[in-house]
Amino acid sequence: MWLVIGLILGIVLVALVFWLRSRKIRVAWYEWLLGVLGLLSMVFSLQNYQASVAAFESTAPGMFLLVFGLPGLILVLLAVALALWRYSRSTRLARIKTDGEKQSMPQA
Amino acid sequence: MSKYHSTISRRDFLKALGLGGVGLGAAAVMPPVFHDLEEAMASPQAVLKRPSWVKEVDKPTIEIDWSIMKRFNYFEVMWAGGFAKAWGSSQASLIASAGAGNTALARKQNRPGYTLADTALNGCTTQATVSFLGPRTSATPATLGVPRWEGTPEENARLVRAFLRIHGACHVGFVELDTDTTEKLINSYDGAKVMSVQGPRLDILDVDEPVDKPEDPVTGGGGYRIIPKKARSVIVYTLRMSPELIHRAPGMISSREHGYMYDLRTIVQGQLQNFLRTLGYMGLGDTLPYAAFCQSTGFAVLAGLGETCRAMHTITPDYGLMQRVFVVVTDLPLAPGKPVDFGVTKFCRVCKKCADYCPAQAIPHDTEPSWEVKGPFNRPGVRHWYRDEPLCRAYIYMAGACAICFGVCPYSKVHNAAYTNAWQATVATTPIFDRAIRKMDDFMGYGVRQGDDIEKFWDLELPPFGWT
Repeated sequence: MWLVIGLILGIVLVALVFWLRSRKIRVAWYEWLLGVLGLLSMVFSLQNYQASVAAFESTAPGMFLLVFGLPGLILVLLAVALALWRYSRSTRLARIKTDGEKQSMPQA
Repeated sequence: MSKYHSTISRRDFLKALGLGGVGLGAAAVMPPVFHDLEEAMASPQAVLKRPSWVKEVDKPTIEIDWSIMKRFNYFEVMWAGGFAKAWGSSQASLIASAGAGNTALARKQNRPGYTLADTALNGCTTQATVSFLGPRTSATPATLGVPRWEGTPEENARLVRAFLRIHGACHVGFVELDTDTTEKLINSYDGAKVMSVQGPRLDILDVDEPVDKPEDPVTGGGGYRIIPKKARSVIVYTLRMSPELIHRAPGMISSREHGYMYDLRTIVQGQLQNFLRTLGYMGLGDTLPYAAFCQSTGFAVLAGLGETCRAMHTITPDYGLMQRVFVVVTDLPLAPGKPVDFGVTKFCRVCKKCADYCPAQAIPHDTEPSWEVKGPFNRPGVRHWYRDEPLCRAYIYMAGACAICFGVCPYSKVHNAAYTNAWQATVATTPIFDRAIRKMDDFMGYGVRQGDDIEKFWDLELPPFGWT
């Protein structure tokens, strides 16, 4: 199962990198760091959840999702939000710059 | 070369194909196939594997003063004459009958852990017999017309480990007997069939053959047994318990798991004794279904199977407290193991979870272990957290059974959660996170099952032997 999860995660990450490049979206190093930490925390939480369920633990599976899964998800969402905010800000700035240049051009 | 020696296991074959991970689950449920003893000795089962964070050490992590230690009379334990001695005969009878009344009431009230189904589970034991000399039903080198097996102590150790592993043992280790030290872990008197009777004397003498001569065949009391001085090797092995049953302590379900290990031991011990007999050596074992003729935990620690803990049991890196330890003495030379350190006794100083949850408060809360014994029922000579055995046994009478200390110990989570491996590796490396790890264990809700969860046992799709 973990081999399959690893493969899926690898494919998703490679696809993400290609998609970011095609859209010319630049992701800062700290956004990558937050995203990877969040992803690792989520995978850790899932592994422990699955092992605890297999061991018929009643409380621990939910606690793993809460203690490691939820913060992991928040970190990933934070990384995505930061990247999108920066992207939209940069595109907006670029548009303002372009509009400004158009207005300052001498009328023919 | 024989074509059999070119045989590789399914797992190795799949690994060679790069499909080890995929095939692991399927291969794990298939028994390994050995075509001769050499092949068995070369197998992975012949090696005691440990995680990298388990370190071999020269001395056990718990201090031993061999000059104080003396061979122990089994009659002093709570399961023999010790209980009546500690409480007084009338008080002891009162506790026993009150306990029987409690259990009967719980059964009538259909309380979780005491239902008729649970009682049937606990009472199913066959109480098969074990004996000092073994069944003696296998061939000997003389009857086979061959010389006895000769190998180096290392080869013999691999041989015995491979044999025991394929017969169900989880850990197998060896200790060398020495008159001034390790021999003191063998009881001075063995147990008797009737617990109120003093068992046979256990002598270690310079004789050729072992002797088994209890005076009274009905009670098994009196008389003597002799271990020949030439039998210098101790085989220590463990049988794995199911966490699912133990986590239902106290009650009949968890009690069955201890009983089952003793039942299984009767088979494994007899087979080991027969195996040693055919090799041309003696195998001297326990004589009662629920007793030991020596201090098994002490031998497990010296053999390097695990460390001892606050609850005075053996903790192994693989299964925590979820195993029972058994011992056989032999004259087959065996390479002894070394004690191990993976942080248990340091962690026990801080954790104290077993002491907190012990309903009888028989396990001390003291941070540091002590040389002071609580009574003649403790074996002196070890700096330990000596348990108050009369309190422990009284609670077992009152509740019908108990194994709460086994169930609540943080090490008793034996499933493959990465978190468990991570904290165990941390504890083995540094004690600074010990308190946080104990708190986390409580926070995650680990411990024994409560209320209706106990009876859910009957609805679980458990793996074979309940080994989750």
